[in-house]
Amino acid sequence: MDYSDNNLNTSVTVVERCIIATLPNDITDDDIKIGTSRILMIANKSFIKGAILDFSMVSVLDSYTFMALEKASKAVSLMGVMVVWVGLRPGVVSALMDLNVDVTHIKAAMNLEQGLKVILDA
Amino acid sequence: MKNIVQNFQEADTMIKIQILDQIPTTVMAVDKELRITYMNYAGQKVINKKWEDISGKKCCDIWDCLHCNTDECYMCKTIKNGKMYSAQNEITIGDLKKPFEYYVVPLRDEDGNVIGGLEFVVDITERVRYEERLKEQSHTIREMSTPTIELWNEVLVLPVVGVVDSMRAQHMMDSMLNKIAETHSKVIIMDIQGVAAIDTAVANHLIKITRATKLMGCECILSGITPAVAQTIIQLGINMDTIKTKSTLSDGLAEAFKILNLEVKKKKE
Repeated sequence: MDYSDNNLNTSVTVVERCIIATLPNDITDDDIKIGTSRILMIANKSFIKGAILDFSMVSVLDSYTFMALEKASKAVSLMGVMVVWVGLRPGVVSALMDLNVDVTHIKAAMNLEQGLKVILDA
Repeated sequence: MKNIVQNFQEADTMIKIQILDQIPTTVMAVDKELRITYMNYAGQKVINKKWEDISGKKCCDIWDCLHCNTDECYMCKTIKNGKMYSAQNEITIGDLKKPFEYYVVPLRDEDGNVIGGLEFVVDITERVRYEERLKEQSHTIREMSTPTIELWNEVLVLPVVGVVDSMRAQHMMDSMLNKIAETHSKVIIMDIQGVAAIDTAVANHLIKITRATKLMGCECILSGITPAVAQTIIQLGINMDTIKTKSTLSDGLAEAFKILNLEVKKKKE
């Protein structure tokens, strides 16, 4: 099922009871806001096991966006949906470490396939 | 000796110019319009031209340098500001490109007005070559000091030997992250057997690296923790709860197999 919207830069798809949200390279506040409410709405409506945030298109991530996405992930987790971040690039990870952000509670996987596996095996 | 020096000091202009001519590196003087008013023998030898061919010509027509005819020309700056400058530049002679360093000072008349500039050129080809070799060698050493090895399918190992400073830690992290992305590994074992001492800074670097690998979806195991290191970590009060730690590399590998659901079995005879 495709939940993409003309106003939204992020594609939200449901596969095997998992929500897959692919983030664009230039993430805006609106993208995060609309994307989060969409994921929460889907999670509330249908029986969803997990949500995957796909960062494979993201080449730059600042601390503000990171925190916004972290909050979004926490909100989704509160609905009992496991959130996995996938496809983070080495450069992005290195930059996040330089920004000294707390990443301990984030679940991550190398790619979409492994992310799906993490959710389905849980 | 003092007498000779004094004699030279009092000597006429010709003798002073002869002394300048003996200097083995290029010395050149120009007027305010950048026309060459003097060049010693060494300079004439470098560009392979006689004084008759150079006299009165503009210096940028004689020399083929990177700074010539640009805002970077320090001779123009020194004539304009009356200050002394030094800079690195590159000259092209035929097919050859030679790096050099030049110092420029303003020439003044009796009233202190700038009437031109004096340039003193030092060939730094050897120095640049040494610098490049040094850069190459330090790059090789850096690469050698952080080898990320694929020990098993989806298992990487990074043996750390010596002192871990922030630059090395950064390089270790970068090389690990790139290797993880390249090999799609799920476990990385960081073996710190060769690290003699650990302080809070080193521990923080290691914790940072493990967090980074986790974001790539890769589990990090810290192996090779010696009793002394273990005690130091506890005494310093460093929280290593978030990191899986093992005492030997083999224990680390066993843990990696466990994570990957692999089993090592003895072959039936």
